[in-house]
Amino acid sequence: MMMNTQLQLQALFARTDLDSAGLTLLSAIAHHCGIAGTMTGEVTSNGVTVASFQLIVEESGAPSQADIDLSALASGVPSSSGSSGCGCVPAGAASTVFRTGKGGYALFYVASGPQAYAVRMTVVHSKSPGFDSTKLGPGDLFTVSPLRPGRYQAINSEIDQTAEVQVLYPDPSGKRARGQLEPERVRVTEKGFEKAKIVVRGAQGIVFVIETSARIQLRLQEPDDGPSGPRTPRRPGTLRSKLIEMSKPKP
Amino acid sequence: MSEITLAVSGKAATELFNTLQSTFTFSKSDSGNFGPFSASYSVALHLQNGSFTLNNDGTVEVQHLQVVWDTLTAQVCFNLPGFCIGGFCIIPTPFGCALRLPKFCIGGPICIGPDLSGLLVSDVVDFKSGVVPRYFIDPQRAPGITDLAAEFAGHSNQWQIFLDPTNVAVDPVDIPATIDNLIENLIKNAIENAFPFIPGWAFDLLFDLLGPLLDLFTSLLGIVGPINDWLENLLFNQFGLLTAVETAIADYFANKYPIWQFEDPYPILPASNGLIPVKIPVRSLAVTIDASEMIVSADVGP
Repeated sequence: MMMNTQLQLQALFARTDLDSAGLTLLSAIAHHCGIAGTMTGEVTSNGVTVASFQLIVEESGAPSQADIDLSALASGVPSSSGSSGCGCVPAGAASTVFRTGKGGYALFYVASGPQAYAVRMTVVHSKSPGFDSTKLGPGDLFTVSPLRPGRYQAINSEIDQTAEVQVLYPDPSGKRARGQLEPERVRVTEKGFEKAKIVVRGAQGIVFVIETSARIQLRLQEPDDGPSGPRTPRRPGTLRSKLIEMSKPKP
Repeated sequence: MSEITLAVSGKAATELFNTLQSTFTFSKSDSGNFGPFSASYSVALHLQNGSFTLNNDGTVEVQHLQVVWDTLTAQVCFNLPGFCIGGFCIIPTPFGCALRLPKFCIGGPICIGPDLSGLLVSDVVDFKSGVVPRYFIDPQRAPGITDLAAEFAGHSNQWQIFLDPTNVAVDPVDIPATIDNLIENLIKNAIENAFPFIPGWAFDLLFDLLGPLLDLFTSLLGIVGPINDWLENLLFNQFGLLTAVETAIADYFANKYPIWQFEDPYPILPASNGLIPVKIPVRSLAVTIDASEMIVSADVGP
């Protein structure tokens, strides 16, 4: 396994707390683009601007999604220049200009690295309010895919409302294909979270449908280490050596 | 010109064949890329159990010969998707998904190496063969030296009698269906070795995400049908291993090692009491076979 993959996975498993104000591998924001025009955006990480981009919302274009990989922007290799949503790198198209139609979405996500990112967008030549990922508003969608089994608290720190999120311990037997699980959808209103308790499986998505001012955070309260309890990472070995070990008589 | 006749009994011929089959060895390794995966193999084998019969129609018959696969290891490498995040629909509509989160996977290549060494035996289809005499001139024999000097130097010319099989066929190896269990364990072990740094709960999550490992394996590699059939086909047909073994056996009998050979000139009396050995040149060798013996006749003399 390559070192890059190891770093990616270590970043993935270290991330137990999730925050809409700091997007990581396990979270994303979809911002509804209801007004046509050109927006300039800036990506920050730890308060430092790491990239900028332009989002063009076309009046006549069909509503679609502009996939904007913040980690790719920060590394100088944007992963998409349009609305194909393929997540691939178009040959020779290292563009920082993204397009979507009016009524479409700008989808901000992080495909690699341990960093957390925030996004601010302002509308060029307009007094219309822009977008700030640290303070979501009606029409925005915040998604998370928590991995670590356990009990979490979901908090909307803008209005001080909470809910419980439980990530179930996975079936380690792997006997059944689980397939792609549909995400749990939860409305976030000024009265609080639509559901008091949200139960999902590891890597299953939760979509928070924002209908009020919101900053959503997930904090791990109590990890679940499953029936075997906490286990440290294993040492690599071969099946043959394991079999030899197993065949040794026990004292 | 005088003639000499040598006869080899059926029992002696069998002994000669037993020596012949016991000295056969074959080894080969190769690798290839097959699109979604790459593979390599290493084999070494020997022959056993063959019986040898002389026939009245001038042929010999080899029966019950078996190939013993002393070494038969394969390695198959493929990309494991690993942990896949996203890909779900954020805004579903009656007409499809209006907004979907991109899916990305963090994984990498893993390799499994099923080892079937010493477990498999293949039958060689019984075959009939004629015998062919050939004259072998030792290439290391110095030019111009006498037959006696060549003998002392260990480089005598030889008359050699080879089997001449027109076709050698080896039955396909029957890899048992229980290879599935081995493959499953190898994949699990390879995954654990590929991610030695992740915590225990993450392994459980990974195996939950991946689902049944054999299903994953067949899906990633595009395997249709049972895995044992696929592995047999990969090794013995796609790599051409069966043909290589058949060719090696046929070439061994027909060209590499004679069933019988003797030096020319043929020794009549050994050297003794200070006298040089008595040897006679052998010419126009012919071999005939009946059910009881193999008869070699030749002209002798200068």
